[in-house]
Amino acid sequence: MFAERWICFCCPHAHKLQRSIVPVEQVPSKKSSKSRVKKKSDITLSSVIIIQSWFRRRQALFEIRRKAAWTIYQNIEYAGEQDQLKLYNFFLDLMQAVAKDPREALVIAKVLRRSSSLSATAEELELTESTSPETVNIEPSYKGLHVQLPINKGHFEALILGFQRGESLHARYVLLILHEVRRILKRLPNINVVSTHQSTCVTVIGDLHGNLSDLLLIFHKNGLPSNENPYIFNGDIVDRGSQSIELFILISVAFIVYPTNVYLNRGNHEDHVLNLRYGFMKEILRKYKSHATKLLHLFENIYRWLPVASLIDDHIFVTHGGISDITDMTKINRIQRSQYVSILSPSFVIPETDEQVQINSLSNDQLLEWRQMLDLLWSDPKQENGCEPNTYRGGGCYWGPDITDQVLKKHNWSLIIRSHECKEEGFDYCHGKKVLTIFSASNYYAAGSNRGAYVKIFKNQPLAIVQFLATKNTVKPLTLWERVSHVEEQALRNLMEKFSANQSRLMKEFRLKDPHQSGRIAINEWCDIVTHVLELQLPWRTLKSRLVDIDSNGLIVYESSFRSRELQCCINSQVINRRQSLCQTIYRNKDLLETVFRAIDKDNSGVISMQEFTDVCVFLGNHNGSKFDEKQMTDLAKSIDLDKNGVIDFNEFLEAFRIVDIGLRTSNPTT
Amino acid sequence: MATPTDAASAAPEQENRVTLRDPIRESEERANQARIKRLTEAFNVFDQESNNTIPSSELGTVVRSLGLVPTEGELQDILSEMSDDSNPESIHLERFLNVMNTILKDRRYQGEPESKILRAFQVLDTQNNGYLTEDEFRNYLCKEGEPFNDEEFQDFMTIALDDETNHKCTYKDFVQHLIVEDND
Repeated sequence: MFAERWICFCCPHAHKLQRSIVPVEQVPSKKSSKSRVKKKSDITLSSVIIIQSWFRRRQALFEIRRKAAWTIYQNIEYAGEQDQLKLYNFFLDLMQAVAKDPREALVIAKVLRRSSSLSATAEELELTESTSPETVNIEPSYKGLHVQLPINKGHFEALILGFQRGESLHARYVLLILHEVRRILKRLPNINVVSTHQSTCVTVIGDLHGNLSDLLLIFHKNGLPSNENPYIFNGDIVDRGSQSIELFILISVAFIVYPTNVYLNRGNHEDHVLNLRYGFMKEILRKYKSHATKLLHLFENIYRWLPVASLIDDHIFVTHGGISDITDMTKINRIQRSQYVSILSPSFVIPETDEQVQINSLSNDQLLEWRQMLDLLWSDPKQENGCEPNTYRGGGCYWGPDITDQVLKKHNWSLIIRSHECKEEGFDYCHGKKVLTIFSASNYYAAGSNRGAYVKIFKNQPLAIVQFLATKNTVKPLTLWERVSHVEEQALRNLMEKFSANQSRLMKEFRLKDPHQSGRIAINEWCDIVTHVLELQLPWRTLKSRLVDIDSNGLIVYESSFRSRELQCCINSQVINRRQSLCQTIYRNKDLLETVFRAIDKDNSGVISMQEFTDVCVFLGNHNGSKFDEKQMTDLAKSIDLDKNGVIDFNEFLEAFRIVDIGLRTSNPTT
Repeated sequence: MATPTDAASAAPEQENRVTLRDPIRESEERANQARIKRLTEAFNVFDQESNNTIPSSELGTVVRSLGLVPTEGELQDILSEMSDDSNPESIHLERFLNVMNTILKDRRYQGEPESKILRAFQVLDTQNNGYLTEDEFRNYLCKEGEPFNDEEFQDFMTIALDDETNHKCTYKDFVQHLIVEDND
């Protein structure tokens, strides 16, 4: 009865104007039968409203928790990426300046150069020889699929079934497929030319990040790729997820079978520098062990041949990151894209030999060209006008609606489709619907965190966006409560790790604010310290009840964050066990250390020399503000080199630093 | 430390500059600061573009996330106090803080005590069963007052029902779940 006139805050679309409720207290209580009926219905009404209001309150509390969890994920993700890029940026900066310490220079040189630079023909020869499928034998025990050229639809379908069953494809056949892909990619222009003329529709897929189940769900909903059903894959196929290699193989095979109807765009993660840190390299090492080096070497030589964008019907521009104020199709087409082995360190930047430790200085043209490439794969849109460097990511630009208009007009385009950013609904429009973000990895942060989506571009119809969510059991959709719990749990776990990893620094600041040693500080102070030490802008007031104990006076019992979890170091070394803050420093920089160690480890043996180990730690300490004390690190290195053979297994070393649950302590904490 | 001679030789204007500490005022100021920080943080969670505005449609969630229990009608009143005619679709942080600070200070929209909420269920339980069924809930909550939409009703029933098999809600137990503690 009152329904038709409300603006309902639970459903965002507004209805007509409002009416205010008459509170039950104002209803006169007469004893006539007529008004008794009236009074009863008023009481009923107010009772209904009480229940409805309290329920909506509860929903809102969960909603803010969900959004806070999302903020945690994004902040931590970007902080990580930012780290990675900062690392590379300052390697390059340091190379430009004269490296004063030759040891440092050597570290930088080793990190930046993955493989030595040969002439183009020499390189081809080297590649063919070292990564030929012929160099890998099939053991009799191999029961998986066998692949021979020519690769056909049958292989594609068999691989889908095999991967679904959890099977692996033998390294020999992976090499075979990758060589085929490379051969075809080399012939392609920098920008794919796509037309809906033939098939009336083309489907664009965004980031997949190793989520095989999402791709299979898309094929199920949208059909397998074919000459009648073309696909554009807009980058970031690998890294983060656990089935990057299977995904890349499937997409490669589809590409080989339908080379004029499957289009690949390079993403910022199609880059060995990022693979070092974000999981793809680890996955290959784990799944292919002794053959991993060959595969990695070949991947490094495939990424550079991936086109950087696609243009549909001359008016829809599809690229992984986005654009910037200098984006120019003519210029992009002229670039020799194969120089960009890594978008972050193209070959003309890296010195050619070990002896050369200074970066080559670049001409203005080279710098601009580099920016063209970087901007396409790393940029993000922003709300305000203008174009500025993307310091959040450390590469590419933030571009505003005026830049979109400018670039669209210049090229006579009508729409930019890009990916690169995770969106809750799997897609998002901005800049007056002239930019569409499409993201196809559902459950990216945690189960239930977000949907995936893909977009279908039609010849004579408006485009259509299709959403999906890969779930293990499709019995019933998760309720709000279930979704929030799942998503939040993992986010909070990630956050608690940061607390443990920064325990010494946090406790030092807490104690400064607690001169009477009561173990408690005010909420405001706790929030300020946590923001400052962890360098995370998060809604701490909303989160605090899940991170720390609060006493009856509303004060924060700051030590309680550290009671259930502890950073432990399982290395048999007296040096480390006495030094909690050194432990924590190493743990905090685990990802960075791992990246640099792995980059130095050219033969992927998992082992580097003690000298290299110490050099890296000290180097990072000098330039990262993380204070790896040189003496401490040298002592540490010596103490863990029990075999005295001068090498360290860095995987083992890093894995020894772990945050473990220790349950509630009853005794007083020591450090 | 100022010596008596210093004070004596100080400029005449400074004689009136004796500041008495006002503990009540200071504590009010601290409380005010705490409220502003709390409000700003809640606002920021929904400020997607970091430009100090939120969509008007999110106001309900933001206000309720602070633990308040306004009705939809009351929310509408709050909205009209803080919205900007030139841009009705969004709410600016400044206006939000102004209006909400007063609301928090005056402790409005705190909602009913638990006993009254229980009473509300009892009113609807015309047969005095001690429980309510899904159908009964649907009749009331989806058709009267400020009706639930399908999604809200579904979410409501998930937590209201005693268990999956029977379609009953023993509301005496349920009230606890309904009035879950807020984040503070």
